[in-house]
Amino acid sequence: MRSHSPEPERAGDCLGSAGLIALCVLSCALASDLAAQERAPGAFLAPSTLENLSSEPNTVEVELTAAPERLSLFPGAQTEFWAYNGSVPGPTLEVSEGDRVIVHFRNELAYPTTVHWHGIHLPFTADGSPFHPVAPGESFVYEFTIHPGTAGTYWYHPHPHHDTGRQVAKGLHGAIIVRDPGDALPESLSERLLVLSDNRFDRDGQIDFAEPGSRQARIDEENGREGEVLFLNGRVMPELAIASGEIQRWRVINASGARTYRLALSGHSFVHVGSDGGLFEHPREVGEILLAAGERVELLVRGEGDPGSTAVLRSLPYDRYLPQTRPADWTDSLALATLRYSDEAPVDAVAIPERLRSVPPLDPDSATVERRMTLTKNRINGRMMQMDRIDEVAELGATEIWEIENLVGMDHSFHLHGFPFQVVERDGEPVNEPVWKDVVNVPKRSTLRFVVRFDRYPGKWMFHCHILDHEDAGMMGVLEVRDP
Amino acid sequence: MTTPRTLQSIALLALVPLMILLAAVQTPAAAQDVAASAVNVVEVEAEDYAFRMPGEIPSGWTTFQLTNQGDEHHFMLIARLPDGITYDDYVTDVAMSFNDTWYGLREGRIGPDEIMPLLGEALPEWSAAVEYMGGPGFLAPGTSGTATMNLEPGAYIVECYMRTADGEMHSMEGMLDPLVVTGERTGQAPPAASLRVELAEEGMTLEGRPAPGLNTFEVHWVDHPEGTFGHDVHVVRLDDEATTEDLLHWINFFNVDGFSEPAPGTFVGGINMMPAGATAYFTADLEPGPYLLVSEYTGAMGVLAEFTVEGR
Repeated sequence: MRSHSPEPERAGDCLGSAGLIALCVLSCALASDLAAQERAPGAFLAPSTLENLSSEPNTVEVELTAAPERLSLFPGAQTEFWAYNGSVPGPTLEVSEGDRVIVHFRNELAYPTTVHWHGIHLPFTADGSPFHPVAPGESFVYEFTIHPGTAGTYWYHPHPHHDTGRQVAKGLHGAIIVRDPGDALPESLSERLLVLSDNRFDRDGQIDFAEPGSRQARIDEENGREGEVLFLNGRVMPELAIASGEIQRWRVINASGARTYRLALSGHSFVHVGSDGGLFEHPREVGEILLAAGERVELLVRGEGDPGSTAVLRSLPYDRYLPQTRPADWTDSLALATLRYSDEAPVDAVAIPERLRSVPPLDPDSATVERRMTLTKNRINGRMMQMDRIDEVAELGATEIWEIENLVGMDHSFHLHGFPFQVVERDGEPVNEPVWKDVVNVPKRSTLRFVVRFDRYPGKWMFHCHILDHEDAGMMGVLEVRDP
Repeated sequence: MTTPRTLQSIALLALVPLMILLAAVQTPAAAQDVAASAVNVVEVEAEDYAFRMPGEIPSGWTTFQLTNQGDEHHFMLIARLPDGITYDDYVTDVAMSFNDTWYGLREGRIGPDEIMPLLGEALPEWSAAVEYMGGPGFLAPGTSGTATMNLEPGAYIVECYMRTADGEMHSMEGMLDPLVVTGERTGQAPPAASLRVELAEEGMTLEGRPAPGLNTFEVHWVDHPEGTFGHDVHVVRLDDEATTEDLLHWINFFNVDGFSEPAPGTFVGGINMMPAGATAYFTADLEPGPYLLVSEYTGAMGVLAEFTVEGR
């Protein structure tokens, strides 16, 4: 059992007690979302699920609209967000392996946008990358198939060139859950989706972006924009219910533009069962989890507390920063949610299998190409993003080793579109168990290597830092996968 | 209250941003020759804006070969920290104090005359004990240069504070790293030099006659001027239209338009400041023509010299 963190704790500097005010009353949300959001203040609230409009088997057809929306997520204020189908986070896209997915997207914003299906292996034209902006007032149909082995937790968010950070911060992000009918974890486990985000608000309760040229803009440029108000599914310090003895399955998404979460639950350990691309082969007992921007994790939380007791989910201090711009309060421990035990008698625990699934390893020895990506300020390999430049060319079907070298004194989270990869080495130390990733944190002054195979889909694919201010500033490149 | 110790600190630290960081700029081929003949060469690559280098090196005579792979000029200042002072201490208490002062100057909130008093208030007393230990000076993009110094074990920092087009010091963008010099000795001897430069309050002297090709300069710091900044030395070949005054303006850190691209000349060798009494070495690959030897801050006080490399 973990002891409580000794670090100072806060739940948002300007909020006072969470739960004082109703947080989530939508002004004009879609009906299905409205019903979900009008629950009691402070209670855990799962995002709604996108309604499947198709009656065809193995087909999920949904409608998604990005539009301005006034919401009361920041206590005491009606804030102008940009929302998918009227809610922040947006409704969850829930699909199964083998499904054909059709998304009818409409942009009702005043700016070009895209919908990037983060982590999903899909055709280039459906990736929602900066190459396919959707103009204001225009629509686009995203179509793709969920391939076997994809089951896991993903997310979707905008990806317009130079504007991703702002649009995500304005509220445009949502979860994707890909299910595997043969999932080894017991169906009886209650499942919780936790979408983590942070934001910054001005005195009027509006989303605050630093004035260009200001000191804060300079800090945001370096660290990525962090907000002092932390949200879990759009709520501040919600309360999750659990029974003694119960085991819950948590799917956690870091939808923040920059913040890294070092998750710990007071008095509890986690069973780490999965990462970006789904379940591991074997569960791992861990005391805490590091979740960089864009990453996801699947955890089992065992209800080891006594009936009526509480525990706090926190983000512990983590120094990902250059000392030049490290926030003064970075040593604070940030509270995210309360886990409250019911008063009922303990329930019987469910057995967790020792083997979760088979993850086929990509063989580094079969790699035909090795590439090195050097990360520095707003640059990859010394270059800033140019839409009309191809930075790397790979052959369709090729297996490659990518070496990611972070030369600077702050962490960067590296994301490759379209093709999941497996990390095989960190600072010269082998990583043995194959794990599917699409974002990986590259700690300051460190190097890692991953193996990736460019199967099935030719096209132009982005690779970039998922600290969104860095991406927007140019820390991104284009990989063209060509059919030989 | 400003103490003499703090004043010394200000003098030393304020010198750093003022130095003309002219590097030992060589063709890659020439630099490789030097590296091949040296016993202990630390290869460093400068990117925009980061150093690729080991975090730990042996002590003793050490040649740093800096290769600029970026699109902007870079240099590598090396400084030894006092016992008990960490890299983070240096960054937060010294580098950030300079950055705040620079911002004030850049934004017109303070004038050059206010810099010293402000730094006197901002810098910690321990900063007087920071020892600046040389390192290759400015390098143009695509070039490489060396500097050889005798380093004692301890905690060091390496830094480039050239400025971006946006007016940010490279050190704030990522070019400020820790370096540990261990107790293990390199066993390297100082290099043989055909030229000797002495830096003193009275001026700069050059002994020997630079020749076409690779030249090794031995540099000796006789003293530093009382109550003001110290010396470094750089070899510059000015552009056709540029004057000495243009160069002295450009390399003055306190000129808002200085220390950034484009430079008024070609830098072909140099070494950053070291303590009085120290001796160190740098190399310069010279073509026939006129050159300036100049010290960044004290150059404006007359610590500079001219020489001409005659054709073969």
